[in-house]
Amino acid sequence: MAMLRFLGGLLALISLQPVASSAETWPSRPVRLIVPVVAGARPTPRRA
Amino acid sequence: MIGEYLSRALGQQFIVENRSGAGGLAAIEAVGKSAPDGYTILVTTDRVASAPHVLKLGVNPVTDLSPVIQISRQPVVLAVHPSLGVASLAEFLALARARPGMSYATSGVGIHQHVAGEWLQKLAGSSSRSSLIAAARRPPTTSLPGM
Repeated sequence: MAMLRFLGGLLALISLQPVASSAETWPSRPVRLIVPVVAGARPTPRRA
Repeated sequence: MIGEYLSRALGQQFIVENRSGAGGLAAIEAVGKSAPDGYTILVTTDRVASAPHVLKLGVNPVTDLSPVIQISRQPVVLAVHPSLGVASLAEFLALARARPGMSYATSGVGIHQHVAGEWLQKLAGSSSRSSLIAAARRPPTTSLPGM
């Protein structure tokens, strides 16, 4: 169920329409995905 | 993972930028102040909704950002050191009432874990707010064993 929600979210994301009033097809240039991170946080080491 | 998928699906590069600063709020502000052209997208937890109620934010998420989709759901779990000797939420709340001043750790001030912790504290009837805030500013990996 969680995977279905995730895939549904991805499909919705790729169907985004251009925000600006332009005839260009989105995306016509690289898109930045900004992800907030907390300084000092680090990935949890995997256990052996 | 999302960036790679979108890059393949849309034939355009999606660049993931991990942005630190102010517990992650700098990233929210950066996107809120960016050009509204669809080329700068925020991927965040619900801290974007909870943080403004705890910390000062340079943008108004309600008016400066538009929600697009929910990508996933993230549960909040409560975990304690085994030596604490509690095996249920009821036992934990009883211990918290008996021991005022217990601290907990989250990954940042103002994020959903912090809000959930404050809510739990209210349920427990505890009154150790200042110590909880201080604990929340430390990385969980260093502060949790000291509960």
